[in-house]
Amino acid sequence: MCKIALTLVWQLAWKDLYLQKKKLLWLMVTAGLIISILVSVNNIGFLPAILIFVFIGTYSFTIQTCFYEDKNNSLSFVRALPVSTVQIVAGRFLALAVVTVGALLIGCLALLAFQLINPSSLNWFRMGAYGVFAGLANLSFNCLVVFIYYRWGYTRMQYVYAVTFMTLFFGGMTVGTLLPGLPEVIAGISPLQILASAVIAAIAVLFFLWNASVKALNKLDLT
Amino acid sequence: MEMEKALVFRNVSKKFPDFEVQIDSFELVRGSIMGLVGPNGAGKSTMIKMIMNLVHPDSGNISVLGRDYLKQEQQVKNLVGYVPEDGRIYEEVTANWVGQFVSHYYKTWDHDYFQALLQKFGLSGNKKVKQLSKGNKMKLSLSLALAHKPELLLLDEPTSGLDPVVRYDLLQELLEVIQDESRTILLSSHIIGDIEKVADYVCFLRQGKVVLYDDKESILEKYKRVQFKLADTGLINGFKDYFVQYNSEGIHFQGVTGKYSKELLPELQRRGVEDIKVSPLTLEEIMIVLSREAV
Repeated sequence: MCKIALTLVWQLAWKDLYLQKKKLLWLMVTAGLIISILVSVNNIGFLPAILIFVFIGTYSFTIQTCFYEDKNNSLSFVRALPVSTVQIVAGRFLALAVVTVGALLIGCLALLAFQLINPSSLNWFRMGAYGVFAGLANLSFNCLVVFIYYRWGYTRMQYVYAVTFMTLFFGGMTVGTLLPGLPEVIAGISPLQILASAVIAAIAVLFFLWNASVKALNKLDLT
Repeated sequence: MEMEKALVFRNVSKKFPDFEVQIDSFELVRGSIMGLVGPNGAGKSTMIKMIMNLVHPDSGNISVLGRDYLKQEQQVKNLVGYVPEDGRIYEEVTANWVGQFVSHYYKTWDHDYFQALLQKFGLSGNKKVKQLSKGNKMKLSLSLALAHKPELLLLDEPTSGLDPVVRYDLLQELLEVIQDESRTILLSSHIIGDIEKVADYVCFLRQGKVVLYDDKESILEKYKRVQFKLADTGLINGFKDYFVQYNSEGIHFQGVTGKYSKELLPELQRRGVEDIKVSPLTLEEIMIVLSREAV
């Protein structure tokens, strides 16, 4: 029974991934090229570049998925199938998790390749903890966007898109000025602490967002 | 008794900012075909969407094939085939891919039947949905709805927006497919001619309310055009209850009655009505009369 339910959730996730496969590939390649150029020309640092790559890749996937669903009115197509709202939301979150993990893996491979060309002393355990933290934070943010989409619709979700990008752009430029001691604070936290806090916080946030998304979807009138 | 009904609505209401649906009582007998008719915005699609739980009623109960539409939502959806008004299928994938995707969700999905339907409708499974015409999208939607052999088929305006030739072809193909089976069908349309061809029962909606609900033959029997003459125009007040609509030219009257029976003519004659001529009405004419305000 559980296996069947999981298969149905996976099919929903696979549907999202399949529908975006070309766009996803195109986006990953383009983002990879732009970031490589930024790294080599502007010297922005390889790790921030990977994070930007993961963020842009997953966020674009979320936006595109919701855009196509909104354009084709296909949410009512899925809702007409004998599948629960719990499974529909789980399927969407699973697709986002797969894209996040995929983007992180590409980032890891790029980092590995960069290390082979330009060897430096890296704390892989700390890097891994940062990676998990970034991945979970990114996944939570994308799931929040999905919740907004189910609760208030695609148009309002776009406002979040615009506000987030501006916040990250201007915030990213000023965070160093506002909090000059931040890098030292982060360096002082052990990888295990980062890992544990990220996992606990993400479980709580994702559970809350999943529950809220299911409730929003249950109330949504698909006219 | 409720088990014999494919659909039961009890005191169902749904309020929108500019529109309200209020269905106090509605039943659909198993194995029958019901035509849901009414002008645009009468609430036909909303009624069908409420059955599928795509639109949530504010109050009331809906029973589908003896099951609660909300508590047993997945069971209900397993037994229902739904063809929405505007296709609503993923545009970027092929018909075969959609069939493959949908097949995972139905225990009774018949892949060979799905392929046979595609072939019957002249659809290529390898064509992307966005490359299909509106009529072909509707045919694909119908194939998807039929391939899991549903007990209840809900068709929301399947012929809407199609040109007359495509509409005729689709209706013929639809008739061939649905006549093979002994399933219950609820078909909504504002094209009365389509309903007249296929339906056993007719339900007429106006401004979100059920105005008329009976079997087609009874409706055609009860509703007639009556022409008559009265000695005095003032006498018409005594006959208003017999007519849903009438107009006059001096002492000559023409009206539509919804109470026609063998007993009506002698009764009218006894009360002084002269030169009575009765002629039949088409379903379309009846619906036009009902769409307007009653006298």
